[in-house]
Amino acid sequence: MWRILVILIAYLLSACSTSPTSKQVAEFGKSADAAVAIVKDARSAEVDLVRERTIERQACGFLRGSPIVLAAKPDGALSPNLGPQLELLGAISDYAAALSKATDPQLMADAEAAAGALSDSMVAFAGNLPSASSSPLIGPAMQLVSTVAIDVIEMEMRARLRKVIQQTDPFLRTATTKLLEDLGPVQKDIAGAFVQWKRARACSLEYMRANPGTPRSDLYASFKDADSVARQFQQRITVLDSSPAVLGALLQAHFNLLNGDVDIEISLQKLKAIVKNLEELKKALAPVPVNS
Amino acid sequence: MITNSEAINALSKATFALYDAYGAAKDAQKTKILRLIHILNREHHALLGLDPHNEDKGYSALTQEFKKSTALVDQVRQDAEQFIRSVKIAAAVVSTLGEVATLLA
Repeated sequence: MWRILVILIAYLLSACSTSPTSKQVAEFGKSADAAVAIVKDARSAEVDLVRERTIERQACGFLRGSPIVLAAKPDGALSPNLGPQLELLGAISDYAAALSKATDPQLMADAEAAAGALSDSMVAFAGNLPSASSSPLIGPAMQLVSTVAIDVIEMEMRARLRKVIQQTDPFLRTATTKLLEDLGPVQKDIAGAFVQWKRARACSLEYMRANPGTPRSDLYASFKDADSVARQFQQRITVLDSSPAVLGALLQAHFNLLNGDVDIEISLQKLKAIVKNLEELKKALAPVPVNS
Repeated sequence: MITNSEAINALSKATFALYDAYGAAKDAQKTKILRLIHILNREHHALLGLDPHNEDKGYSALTQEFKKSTALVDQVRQDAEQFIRSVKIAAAVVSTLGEVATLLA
């Protein structure tokens, strides 16, 4: 009978220790943050590039004797505002944060501590009753009930979370596909603006180099400056180019929440605690030897 | 014959692989990959018994779906917190009753 009880409880524990683990939820949160950062920078990188390109074009015109135009308006159209995309990603981030709070191991630790305190209080209370002839049994029984009750609560909580994740997964697939679709043209526009910026900057550099009056040190400094700015833009473009991988990782991290492995360590810890409770209960139930 | 769950797993793996391929693809290939991802998304919806037209939802509708999910997750956490509070109160009540019993004994 005891063996059947242990097997039954072990089965319950293995079920309640499956997905989503706090580590998996943290992975999902990180992916969501990375996607938000990329989409935010997509817009600002394009704004920066178009502005810099305009300035470079005006500067080259100035060097070549064209009319002076200061603070010229950007000479190219920007991609549509990514507001709705950012709002959606913000909602995904909030969802990841909520999952992180709901799977915080501290929450279950608090529940276990509260249940432990309740079972201790009940044992102490029962000890004070005059007719507590069965008091040796009450302690282990209370501990067993509280341990199993907390596991059942945890299992129910995880089952509810799992259902929400399952329901949300198809929407995340649609969301990442839409983002992938919409970021493609933005990436293309940014890459185009970068090529044009480089061309405009090269125009000024060529003019300076062709002018024999330009000191070599100025030419060197101008080249170094242009190269440094180009590298910064190049770096931002490389990050933007990783957006399909980031969105894929976001999708995969969410899917993993539904397919988490059993947390063996937690299961074993709980199983040991329950076996200990059962042993104490068994001891309490054993007939007391009568001294002859 | 494979189960629904196996089909979803296989379909998901194919989707993740397409995301990986998309990054390195040329423009014409990207269009084809996107088309394939849409098809897989619709199949995923169908396997879950959902309306395949969910795939056509706009940003605003999708944002609302995530807000709903967040509210449901928050509800689970709040219920757990409420349970902890109730157990703590019960422990305090039993402890007080124990003290009263000691005084009366």
